[in-house]
Amino acid sequence: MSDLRNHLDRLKDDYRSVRYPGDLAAELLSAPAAEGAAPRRSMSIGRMAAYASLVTGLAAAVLLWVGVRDDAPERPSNGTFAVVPPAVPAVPAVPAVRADAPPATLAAADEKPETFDVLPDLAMLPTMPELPADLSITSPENVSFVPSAEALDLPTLTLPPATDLDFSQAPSETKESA
Amino acid sequence: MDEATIEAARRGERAAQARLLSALQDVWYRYALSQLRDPDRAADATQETGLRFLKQIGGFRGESQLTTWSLGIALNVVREMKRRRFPELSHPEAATAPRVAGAGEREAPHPARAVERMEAVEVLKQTLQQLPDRQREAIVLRFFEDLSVEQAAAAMGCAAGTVKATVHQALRALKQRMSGIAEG
Repeated sequence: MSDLRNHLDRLKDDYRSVRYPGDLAAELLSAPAAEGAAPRRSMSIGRMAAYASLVTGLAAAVLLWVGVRDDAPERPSNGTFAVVPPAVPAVPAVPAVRADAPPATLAAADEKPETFDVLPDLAMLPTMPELPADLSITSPENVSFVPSAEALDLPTLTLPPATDLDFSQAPSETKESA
Repeated sequence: MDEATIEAARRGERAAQARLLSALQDVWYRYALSQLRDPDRAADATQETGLRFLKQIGGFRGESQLTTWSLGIALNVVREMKRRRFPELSHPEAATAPRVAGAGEREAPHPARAVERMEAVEVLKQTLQQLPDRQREAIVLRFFEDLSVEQAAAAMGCAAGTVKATVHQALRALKQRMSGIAEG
């Protein structure tokens, strides 16, 4: 067994002399990462760019939200759309009714109701010129808008040659089939 | 490989991981070469071992030496490569049943002439390659990597008693082979 141990020891020296033919760290890790300090710097630059784009996006979203909120006249909070009534001119407040005041109908009769000028006065519109009285919109009966065939003098059409399209009969034998 | 470097590598620091890879690449490569017997295959196994090492270094708990722990990864990589890609390299029954030259196989040279041609170490190397995988693994880890029985058991994923028995069987097979050559 001692000879075997001696041989094993010599073989061990041979075994231990083997080296990997390359740089495993450079092969498995990226080149800047293997240097140590460089990856941290590149990571920080990338992180800064990511933060900057994130902040820019958030600011744009806030500005857009604020702008939409200012434009909208009414926005319900539950996410449904509200029906916005059309704009109505302001109506003056009705005066409070007092006990010693006359009934409202009498008070209204005494006062002239306030009117609102929604449409312009018709008197302000310009007058439209009148049509002449002898103008006729019907065409006279002896006038024809379509010319007659004789007046156009068209040539007669020639008929195509007649063809026999009857396939009910059995095909006749040809020289080749015979 | 100090503790600080190992801890930094566990945290994912690339510089520390690169230092560990540089320190362990020769260990993985020579083990893979002893099992696969081909430099290109051994290099592939070393790279695969390095990739798995980087993936699993975060889970290293320091219960064994890092070299022993990483040799376990290399051992699994080599086993998988043999099983899936190079099944012809496995000799599960080579030592227990001496090989007999087949009809189409060229007969081995006479042991005495073989001893004349090559040194005893070369004979031992070739004999070692004919051992079953488990026995060769045990011999390499115990006698070439100088691992203890417990460390070899941790790397091989078996009990210490199994390693002892496997080493004993391997030494007996090697001795028989070598004595047969010397007598012949």
